[in-house]
Amino acid sequence: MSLKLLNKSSLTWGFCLVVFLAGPFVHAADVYLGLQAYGGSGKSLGVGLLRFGAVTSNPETGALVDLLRSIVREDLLFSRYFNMVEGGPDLASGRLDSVAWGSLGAQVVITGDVKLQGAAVTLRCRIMDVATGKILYEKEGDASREAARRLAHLLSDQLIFQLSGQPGLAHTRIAFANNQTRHKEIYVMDYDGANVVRLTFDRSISLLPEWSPDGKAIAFNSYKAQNPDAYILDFPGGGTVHQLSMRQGLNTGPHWSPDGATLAVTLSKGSDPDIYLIDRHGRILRRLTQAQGIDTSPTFSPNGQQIAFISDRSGNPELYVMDTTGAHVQRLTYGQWVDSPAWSPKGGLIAYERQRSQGQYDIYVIDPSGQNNQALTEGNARNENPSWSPDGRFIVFASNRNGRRQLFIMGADGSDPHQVGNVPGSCFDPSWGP
Amino acid sequence: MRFNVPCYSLICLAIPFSSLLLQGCMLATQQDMVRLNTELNKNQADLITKMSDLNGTLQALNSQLESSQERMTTLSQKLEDLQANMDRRMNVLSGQVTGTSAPAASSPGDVYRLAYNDYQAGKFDLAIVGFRNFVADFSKNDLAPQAQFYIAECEYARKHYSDAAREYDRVVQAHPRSDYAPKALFKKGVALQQAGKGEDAEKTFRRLVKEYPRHELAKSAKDVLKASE
Repeated sequence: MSLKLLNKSSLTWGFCLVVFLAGPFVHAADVYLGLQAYGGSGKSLGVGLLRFGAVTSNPETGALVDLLRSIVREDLLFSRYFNMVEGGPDLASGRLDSVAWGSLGAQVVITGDVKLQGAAVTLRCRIMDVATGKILYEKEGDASREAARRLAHLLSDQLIFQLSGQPGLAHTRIAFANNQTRHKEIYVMDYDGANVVRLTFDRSISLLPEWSPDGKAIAFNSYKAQNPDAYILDFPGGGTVHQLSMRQGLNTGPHWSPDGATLAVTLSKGSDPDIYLIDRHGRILRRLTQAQGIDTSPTFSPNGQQIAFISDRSGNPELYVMDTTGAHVQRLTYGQWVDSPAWSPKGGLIAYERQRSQGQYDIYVIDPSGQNNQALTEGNARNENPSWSPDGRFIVFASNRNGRRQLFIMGADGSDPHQVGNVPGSCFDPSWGP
Repeated sequence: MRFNVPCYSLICLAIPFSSLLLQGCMLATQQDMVRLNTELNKNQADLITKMSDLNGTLQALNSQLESSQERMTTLSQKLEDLQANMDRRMNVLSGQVTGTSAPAASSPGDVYRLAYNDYQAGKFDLAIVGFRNFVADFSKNDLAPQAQFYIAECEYARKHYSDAAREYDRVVQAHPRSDYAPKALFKKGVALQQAGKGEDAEKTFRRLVKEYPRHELAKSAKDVLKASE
């Protein structure tokens, strides 16, 4: 998919947000609160997924119905909030077979209708209470054919929010570097691996993309001016690129503060690489590290008051935490080569990669006081560059466990690691956007 | 005369020879000097490298020492927690035996951790309450300087810079020998700068340089003072 198409998608979606919504309006939290009666025992809510119906009868609608239902199904499964149930009877004249769905373990069911008129797709989803057969929630959205996937993702997030009270991840995207063109360029894809879009065309080495907290920009590094410089790319914005820091030597790893106003960056300026705070225009606000040796890979804590970073001041590259003036530095790891720290959006954990043996790297988490260090991956592979989902429940990382280096997602406890997408070439440095 | 001719020729020959010899000597001396110079430079470079290596080693050792101190604090904290747990269990047991109810008490580690988690989650108001309780209840604990430092950090995070400066000052007053004292002095200076009290900030940085001249933050304080000149 080209960048043009992506822009078009977003615009179309902007349009469809305006056009939205019919049916009985229910306040966002009401459905979830109402469902607490079921979920109080700590068991996952049983959610039945019916077959989606086609409102229009043209042959293309059928394929679209299957596609949109499968996207909603995968999004609900990915969220891990529900006990998903399928295979119950369809609605008969709009009525739900409560006995059959109830015996399958469903407390609510989700239905969907798809309409395709010209290039416009309409998807209407409903949540129905199995006990009473009543419609609890209904929402409809429009989009162009190209944006149909996004439409399904956005509706999935609405359903997840209604049923769990938590914001969903289905609308999120992942930025990463990839070398399929024999150059390293920056790409984005949906969180499920679909819609891979290339953002840079520099025929150079571009890497370490990092989403801004508002999702409207991506900071990254590029050697396109024959020096490791830092740039900011507007998203979607047609890929407009601004220079961030072009100083002599290293200008690497720009990482945004939670308010998006400042960035932590590694600058060498012809000497030892140190960490600096800069503003969005690249002006230096403060130098944070003074120690001899290399200080690099800064990542902000979600409270904006601390920065985790890597330093070899003790001999090996180890993980440290400091405040945003550099005065209060604490060392967290001992003994081995570590890199790529990423602070969980919930604040309680820092993920990082650690060398176990030659060519074998694993993802670990540690709490910011240096306690409870534990491995999340274990395998004879390079598991690198962890990045947290915005809700702090998942981690995306790069791994060559299946041969080619691809992106994988696992739970924050290391559970169920699975490949996301299958992109030609090798993928590096994922950053999960808001 | 017979002898003079060859003598003359010899002399004639000797002059260019001697000048050649002289030139040769000069060249050799020059080469020696260059060699000496090169060796000197090499020695100097070696010395600089060694100094730099030594500096690096010293810094690594310092860093390891600091880390060991931090780990000691953690371990001693764990020991105190174990002791507190043991006391609690003994109280519960003795309560069961004597039929009286045992008072519920949290270990210092638990109180500190709760406050620290609140700080991490950005709940600075709650964290301040937690750290204050810690400082009040466990003033002799190894984590007390740290807890007082984090009260100041929370005020700093809330952009209450004058309050933060006051709280940093409490670290220095109560724990002047702790590693948190120079850190607190530096941050007091930064907080005062943020509060627009430039003169007070300058005084604080000067105090840091004077009272903790060997601490690495003394260098940072000097840099700040230099920049403000």
